Amino acid sequence: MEPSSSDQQLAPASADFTSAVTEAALAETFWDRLRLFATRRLGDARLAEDVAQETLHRVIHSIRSGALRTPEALPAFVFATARHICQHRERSVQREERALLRFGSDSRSASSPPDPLAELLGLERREMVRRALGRLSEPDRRLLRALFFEQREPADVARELGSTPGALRVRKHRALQRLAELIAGVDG
Amino acid sequence: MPIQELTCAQADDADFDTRYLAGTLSDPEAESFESHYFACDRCWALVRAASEARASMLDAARQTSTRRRWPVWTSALAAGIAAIAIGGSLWLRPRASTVVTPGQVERGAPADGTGLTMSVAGDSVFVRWAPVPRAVIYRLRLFTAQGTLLYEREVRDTSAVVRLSSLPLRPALSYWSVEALDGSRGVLSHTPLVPLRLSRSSVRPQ
Repeated sequence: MEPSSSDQQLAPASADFTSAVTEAALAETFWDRLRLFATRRLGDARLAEDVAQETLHRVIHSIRSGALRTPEALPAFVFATARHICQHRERSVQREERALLRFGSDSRSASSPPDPLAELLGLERREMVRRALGRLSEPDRRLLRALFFEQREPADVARELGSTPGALRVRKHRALQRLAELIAGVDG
Repeated sequence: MPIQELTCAQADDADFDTRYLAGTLSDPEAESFESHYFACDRCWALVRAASEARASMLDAARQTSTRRRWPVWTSALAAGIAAIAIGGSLWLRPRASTVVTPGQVERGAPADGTGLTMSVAGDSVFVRWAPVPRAVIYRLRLFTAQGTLLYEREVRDTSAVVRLSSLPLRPALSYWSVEALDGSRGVLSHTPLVPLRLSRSSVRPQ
């Protein structure tokens, strides 16, 4: 496992951890992970942002109060905190849904976006990703489309391309790495 | 139930990133993968790129289907209406500028000791302010130098994170402020507008 950047960026030394970690550095490392995690759990990008905010707030408070002293434990601590907050929110959402059902309302489903993942990207980032996808080679773009947009089974895609599942995984990872580099290039 | 620890190789071999985004992992598998990508930059970079590719493709598909739903004549009609609206607005536009300056958007009494502090790392701006007695909600707002509202968010905590890439545009100079609201959503106080100079490579509070 490649360690999280939090290990290097957030804490130069364990002894200084509680004072060295900055909120912005913590957000830089974990914000998008928290939003993706919470979006999958709650199916709502807006709620996911609330969960991310609350998680960072609680984690910072824990670090400042000395409850968390080692940077190595930080990713697991952030994850456990987010999981706990999500469970709490899930129960609230379920209560709301039951109440709406009792009143015969379907307003939640009517207003829900078709896929909350699409709501995760901000306008500027959306444009950066669109341009980066446009600069990807046609085979890479087709592969990512088949796997992540059409959501076809990797084994089926491999068979269609006359490839093996292992070789397809390598191609997929390379395509994703190229895309990430292109997005970073568009950003810089 | 304890979360099963996962290695990068195990995640790769079982196509966890692809299946995670397709929603076909079991809950314990998804939790293992989530716990893993919180700690692993390599796997996070892959799942992030994949999720952004999917989001972008979904967005493009949605835009295409919206365009297809409207017949061609509606475009001509929309263009005609837009032309009339633009012409009308030009005709009706007052001669004096109506741009709201940042000073004019302040409401409530200036708060004592509720100064806004910002720290920045990469794309993230972490904003923090002091709690205000009786405040139940805080409204963080971000304006351009011309007073256009760029971002607004209500939170219960006394801190918030804003990702610059989520803003509709990135102005060179922006102004940040927080309003403290009571239970009936009345503005109790507000922080002064704090300027922040933004550039593509660096961001620094003034």
